[in-house]
Amino acid sequence: MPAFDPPLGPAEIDAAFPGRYLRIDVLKSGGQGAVFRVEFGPNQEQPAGASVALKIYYADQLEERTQREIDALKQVQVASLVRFVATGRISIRGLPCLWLETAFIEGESLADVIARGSLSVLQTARIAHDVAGALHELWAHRIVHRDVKPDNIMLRPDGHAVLIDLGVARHIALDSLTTYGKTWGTEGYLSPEQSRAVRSLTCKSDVFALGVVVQECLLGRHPTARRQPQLVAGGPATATLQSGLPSDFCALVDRMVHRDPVRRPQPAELVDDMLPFLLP
Amino acid sequence: MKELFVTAQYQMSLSPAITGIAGGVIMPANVSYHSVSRRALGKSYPYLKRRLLDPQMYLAELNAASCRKACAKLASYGWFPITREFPFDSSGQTQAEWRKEVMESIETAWTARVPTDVKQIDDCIRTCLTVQQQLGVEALILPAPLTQDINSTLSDELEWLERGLQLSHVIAPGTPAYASIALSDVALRGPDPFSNPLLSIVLDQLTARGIRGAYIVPVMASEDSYYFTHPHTVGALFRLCNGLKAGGVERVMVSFAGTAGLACLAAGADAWTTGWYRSQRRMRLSDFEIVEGRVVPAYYSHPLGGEFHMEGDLDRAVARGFLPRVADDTTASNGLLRALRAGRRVASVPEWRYALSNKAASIEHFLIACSRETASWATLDDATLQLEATRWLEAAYALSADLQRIGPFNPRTATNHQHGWLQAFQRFAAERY
Repeated sequence: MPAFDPPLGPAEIDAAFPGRYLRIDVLKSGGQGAVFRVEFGPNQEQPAGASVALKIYYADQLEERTQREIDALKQVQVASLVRFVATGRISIRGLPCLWLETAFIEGESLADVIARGSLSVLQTARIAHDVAGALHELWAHRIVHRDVKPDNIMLRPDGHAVLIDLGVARHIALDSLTTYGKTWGTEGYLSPEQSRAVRSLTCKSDVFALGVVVQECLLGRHPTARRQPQLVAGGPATATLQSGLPSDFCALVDRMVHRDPVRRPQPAELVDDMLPFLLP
Repeated sequence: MKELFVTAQYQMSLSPAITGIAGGVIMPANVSYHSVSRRALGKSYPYLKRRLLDPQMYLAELNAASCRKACAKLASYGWFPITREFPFDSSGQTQAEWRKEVMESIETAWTARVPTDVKQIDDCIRTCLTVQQQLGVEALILPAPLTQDINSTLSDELEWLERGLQLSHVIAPGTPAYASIALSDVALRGPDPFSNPLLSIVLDQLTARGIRGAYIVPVMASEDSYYFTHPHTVGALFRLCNGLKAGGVERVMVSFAGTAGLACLAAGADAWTTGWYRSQRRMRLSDFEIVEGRVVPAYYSHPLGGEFHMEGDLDRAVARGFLPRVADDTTASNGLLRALRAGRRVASVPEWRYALSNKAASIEHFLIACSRETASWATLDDATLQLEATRWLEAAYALSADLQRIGPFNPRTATNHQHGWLQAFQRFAAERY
C-alpha cells in the first residue's frame, strides 16, 4: 500500500485546497494519512475563521457503502459524537485520497488522560455514558464504529467525552488501525466476534470495546496490555482489576465485556445504566 | 405465558372439543387470499380471534412446474414476484375456476426468485404488511428469505428486516413486528448448535435491533420424517429460543417444528404452532411437489412424544404390556383406551379403526393433548419447566428404546427422534443462558 513518505505537510494541503483554509496546523501525521487543524478562509460554506479537524486518508478502494455511510453520518446529531462537516475526494501526490472535515474538539484525548493515571468511577461512568450515547445514535443508523479506544475519545474541558473518527474507519486503512486476522480495528479492543473477522458486526461489538476502555480508565492501563488473545473469552472480571469498586458497577462492566454479544447491554440501555454512577 | 397456536389451512374448522388453543397462524401456501379474505375469521373459527399470518417468503424459490397448487395460492397474496397478475372476479368466476386458470399458467408467471432490488423488496414488504393488517393480525410477521448457508453473513436477510421494520412503523405503527427466521436444517445439523456461527450472527443481529418478536421456521431439507431427529437441528431451535429471550426479545414463536415446538417452550419460546396434518407440522419444500394422500389415523402418546401407526403397531405394543406407559387419555381417546384396557383391539373402536380418512378422533386427540401439555407447562417457572422437559424427554427416550425392542414398526410409529431430542436438551441445559 502506498504511503505518505515524507508525511504530508501544510503546504501540500494548502495546494490541494486552494483558498479553502486560512491556517493549517499539523495535529498528527502518519504513513497512511494525516490530521490537521484548519481554519476556514473567507467565502467558504463555513464561517471564516471557524476551526475544523481535517483528515486525509489514503484510500484507493473505497466501497460504495462508505459513501452511503458518510451520508448517514451527516444525519447523526449528538453532542457526544464529533460533528460531521464535509467530505470529498482529492488527489495528493498522485494518490487517490478521501478527506473528511469534522468539528474540532477542544480538549485532550482519553489516551493522554489515562497516561497520567487511573480515573474515578464517577469520571469513568461519565465517559461511558457519553460514548454509549454516541454509539446508540450511530447504531440507530446501523453504523458500527469498530474502533472505539481511548485515542478516539476526546475529553472536553467540561469533562464530557466525544467519540471521534466516526464510522468511516471501517473501510479504509488508517495508521491507527491494524489488521488482526482479516478485520479492521485495534488489537486489545476487538470484541471476540470482531477478532474472528465476523463481518456482520453490531453495536454490541462497540459496547465490548467501550467496556475495555472503561476497565482501562479504572486501572490506569490496558487490562490485558493490549493482548488480544486474552480477550477471546471476554474481558477480565472488573472486580479483579482494582479493589474497592462498587459491585454493581463491576457487574455492569462485566456485561459490557462479555464474550457473547447477546449478553452485552444495548448502548441505549447502557446510557440509562450508567446514570446511577454519575452522582458524586 | 406459554401458548399453542394452530397452523390454519383451507379447512379451518376445529372440533369444539378442542379447547385452549390461543390462536392461529394463516399459511398462504395452504389457502388463497381470495378465500381467506372472505371469511369471518374470528367469528367462524373462534381460535382465529387471535391470528397471525406467516408471509412464507421462504417459499419464493419453489418450482412452479412441480408445485402449481402452492404457487397459485402464494401468488394470490400479491407479494411474491410474478410476471402477471391473476385477479379474482367474484362476480364472474368461482374460486375453483380462478384456481384452474392460475394453475394452468402459474408456471410461466412464477419467477421463483427472491427480490433483491431495493424497490421490489419495499413493494413486496409493503403489500405483505398491508394484507396482514387488513386481515386483523395481532402482530406483523416481517417477510424474510430462507437462509440455507451456514456461512451466510445474513446481508440479504438483514436488508429485508431493516426495511420491514421501517415499513411496519409506517403501515401499522401500533402493531408489534416480528422478525422471520427461516433456517434450512442443512445449515443447522453440521456443527454443535453452540458453536454454529450462523446462529451466533442471527442472535447478535436480532437482539441488537431490539425487535419485539421473532417467528422461527426450521425448514426440513435433509431428512424426511414427521419429526426432526438430528440433535443439532433441534438444539439449534433451543439455542435460538433461549438466546432471543436472553437478548430481550419479548415474544418468540416456533412453527413447523412438530412437537419439538413444545420442547422449545422449555427453552424459552412463548408459543409454538402445529396441527395434526404433516403439512401443518413440518416445512419441507419438496412436500409441495407431491399431493398428500388420504390420511389414516395415528395415536399421539405424549409419554412417547410421538405417534403410533394404527395398523397393528398400537395393538402390538399393548399386547406386550406397554399400555400403561403409552396411554394418553383425552376426551377423544378415552373410548379407545377403555377398549384396549378391556383387551379389545384398535379395530373394535370405529373412530380409531385403521381406515382412509378416519382422522377426526386422531386430530382432536392430538390437539387436545398438545393444548393440555402447553397449559400445564405454562404454570411452571423456568427452572421447574426445564426439569419437567428433561423428565419428559428422558422418559420418552426410555419408552422409545423399549418399544424398539419389540419392533420393527411402521415408520409412522415414532421411535427414532427421542434420543436426539434428549441429547439436544441436555446439551442446551448445560450451555443455556
